[in-house]
Amino acid sequence: MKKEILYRVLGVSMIQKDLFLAMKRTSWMIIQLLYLLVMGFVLAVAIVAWDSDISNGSSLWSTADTATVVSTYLFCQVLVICVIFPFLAGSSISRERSEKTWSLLKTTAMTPGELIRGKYFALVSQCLYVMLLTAPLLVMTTLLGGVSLGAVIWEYLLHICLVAWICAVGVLSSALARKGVGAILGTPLFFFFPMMFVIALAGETYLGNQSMLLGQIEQFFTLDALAGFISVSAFVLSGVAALVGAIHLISPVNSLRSLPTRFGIFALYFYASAAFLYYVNSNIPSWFDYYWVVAMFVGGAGLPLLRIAGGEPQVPLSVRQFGRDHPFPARMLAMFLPGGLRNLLFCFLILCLFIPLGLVEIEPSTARSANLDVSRVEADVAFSQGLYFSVLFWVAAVLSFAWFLGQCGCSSILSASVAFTVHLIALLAMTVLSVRFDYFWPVFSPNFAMISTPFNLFQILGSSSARSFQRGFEAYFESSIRMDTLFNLLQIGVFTGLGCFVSLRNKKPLLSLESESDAGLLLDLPAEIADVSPVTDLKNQKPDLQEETK
Amino acid sequence: MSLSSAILQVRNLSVSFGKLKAVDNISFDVNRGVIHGFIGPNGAGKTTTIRVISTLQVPDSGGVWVGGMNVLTHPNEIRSKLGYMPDHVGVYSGLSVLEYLDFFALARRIFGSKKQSVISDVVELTGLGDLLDREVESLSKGMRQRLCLAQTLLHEPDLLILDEPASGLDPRARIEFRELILELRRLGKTVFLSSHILSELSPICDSVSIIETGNIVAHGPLEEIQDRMSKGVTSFEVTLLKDPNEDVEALLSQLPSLSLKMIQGRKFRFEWNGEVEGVAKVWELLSVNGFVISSISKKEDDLENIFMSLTTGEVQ
Repeated sequence: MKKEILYRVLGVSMIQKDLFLAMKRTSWMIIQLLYLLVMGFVLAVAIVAWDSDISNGSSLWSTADTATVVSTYLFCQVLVICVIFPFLAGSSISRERSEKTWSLLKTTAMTPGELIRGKYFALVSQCLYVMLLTAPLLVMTTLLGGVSLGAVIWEYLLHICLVAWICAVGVLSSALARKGVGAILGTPLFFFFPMMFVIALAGETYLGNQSMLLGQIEQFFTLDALAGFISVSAFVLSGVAALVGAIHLISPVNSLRSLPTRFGIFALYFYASAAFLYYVNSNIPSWFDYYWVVAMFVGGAGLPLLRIAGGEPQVPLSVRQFGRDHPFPARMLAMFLPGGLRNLLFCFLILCLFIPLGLVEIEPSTARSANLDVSRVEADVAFSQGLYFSVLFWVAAVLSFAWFLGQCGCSSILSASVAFTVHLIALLAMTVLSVRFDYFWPVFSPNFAMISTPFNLFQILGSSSARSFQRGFEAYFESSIRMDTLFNLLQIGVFTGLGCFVSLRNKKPLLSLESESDAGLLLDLPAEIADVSPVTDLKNQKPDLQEETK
Repeated sequence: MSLSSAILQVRNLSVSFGKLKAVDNISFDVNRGVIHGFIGPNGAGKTTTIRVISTLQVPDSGGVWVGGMNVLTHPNEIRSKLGYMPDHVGVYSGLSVLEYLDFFALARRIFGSKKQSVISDVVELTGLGDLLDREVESLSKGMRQRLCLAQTLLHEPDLLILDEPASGLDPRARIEFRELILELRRLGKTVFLSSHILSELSPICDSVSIIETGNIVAHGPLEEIQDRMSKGVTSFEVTLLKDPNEDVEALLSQLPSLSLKMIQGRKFRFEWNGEVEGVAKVWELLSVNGFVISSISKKEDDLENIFMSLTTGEVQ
């Protein structure tokens, strides 16, 4: 039993097979040879340096020499890791596909998770083996002094982390590729920019500064702990997400395939929001500029969600998925599955990430000169803050509209396009009317003012520089009721209600009391499959041969 | 669990690839312990159906039950009851036959002494005993097919899904493979196999499904299909002892149920529209008129004829 658990958790049978096959491959011999060449090169450099020291009459071996050798070696190791290992990882699954063994593996007792874990650990083991080939020599070098053995070991661990990340992303790249050619083309695409960055950083650190990467990272953490935390967590999360994504890519269950994508989208927005909050807030001193920038950011970043909101209804949200018989992570992940009301709720969940951007406290005194009326400035800030939330509600209203269209049967692209175009036309119409009739200010006609929040934003922000807009700005500013927000809230309610009505009418309920699967959350069946009984009498379904042969 | 005698139940199965409807609302059953042929031209939807049955493909609608379990809700349980052999057998270059079987045994959670005994059993059944140390890559196509069949048998599945197992095999390998399949039926396995080579299937299949452009055009036991195809008309071939001096055609035209199809020397073929027992009238008529019948045999449509009658050759 213990053995079975071990095999299940680590994918041991896959590790054994992959390592065994790898040892027999020519490419494996080439990789080992390359590594030995790297070490030989480093040692040659060391010998050259040694000779020059002797000719200068200095000591036989200086500590500076050791540091140079170790730095050069570590840089070369990073170079090899970044250049060779992505290709090793990128072909792991595509090789099985091209050798026609993949379908055989998928019909064994190994689960998709076990297959990916086995592939991953086999890859990491291969890379570690290659890295550790030369490690004893490096340890001997450090014994000559000048470099701390502990520092080298920590640096090795950092390189191992890089290898672990490369293998995770490589497995994802390989799972994505249907054919071997796709894997070869996809691997550089996945790795080009991050690897170039790593090589540049390693070159600068090891060769330029003669220091360790870990030291650089520590320094970065000391200077900016939050930025360090965001970077490291993004690194770890992207590796984990890559593995989860690979598992779901090879899984035959439809709804699960969207899970890593949605999780990735959420993580992307989370990091964008966090980065925006952290960097923009600290770098934009003026409250006026801040709210302008964040409002534009939310407007721009929210629109790509239209396609998710307007997606096909697919599977209703099962209420039982939130029951206590499901594990807590499964209940949390239920929101990340596609279909029905979840499409809209997922978009709203992402919009919630933007709320902190509007809650940032801006110091009015630093934004304006001392002789300005502070209460007026504070009111300006409050107004702008409200305007930001108006934009947030506007995005939510457009998303609701797109979701409603999706429930009506429109495709995701059509829903997104129509929802956006309708609002764009409203905005343009408002602009034309405002220009044509000077008296036609939105502020005097709240029903028009409510239609297009972005228009209001442009107009109000523009009023500070263009005098002709001053009247509108003042009047709007003085109004105590934010009619546009109310209108947008109303839109959200109406379109959500209409969407629910349409989906019920189309017999595609948004919520279901039925459990989507006996196996729990991770099997999310289309309703028509779950409804069909296997004991249906076939007699009525037999084709009439006489008819058919005619 | 279903108490039905059917081990495989396919209901209203549809699979699309973009706009192409590869499988269009098909339903059929396969009973336990039979060899079931799944026949169709290229692009008919055979492999797509097989992939759904083998838990490799999710259908758009409908379902497949193996031993009463839905392939979508219980894929792992079904994999333990099902052995799948794809149309293109993949092998790991670098592994020997024994290593290959050892890996698949571990992949199917068979450990220790049980693993050894299972491997030796399947090796004996498939006749791979002399090749255990040979590299898989160096095996002939026939032997690779045997090896792949061996790995599908490791976990003692009830249902074997074989996708074009005889394609690319020489005549000897084909006959040997056919014998192997018959042996599996004797061992109580259900074999679901697709093939283009209809002459290979007709002597071994208990039942067939014929699929074309994603639709099942015929399904059931082979005899039943033959009967249905004949539409009450039975063909007979008669051989006379001597060349007929008189006009047999004119003589036989007295029988309204008889339709003469061919006369060639001492042989002639006719179709009888009615009860088979009524053919005795032919015997009687010929005897009265001095003809001595050497032999009379009933001619049935073979699988190739049925296939040609039922399919149009249309491709998607």
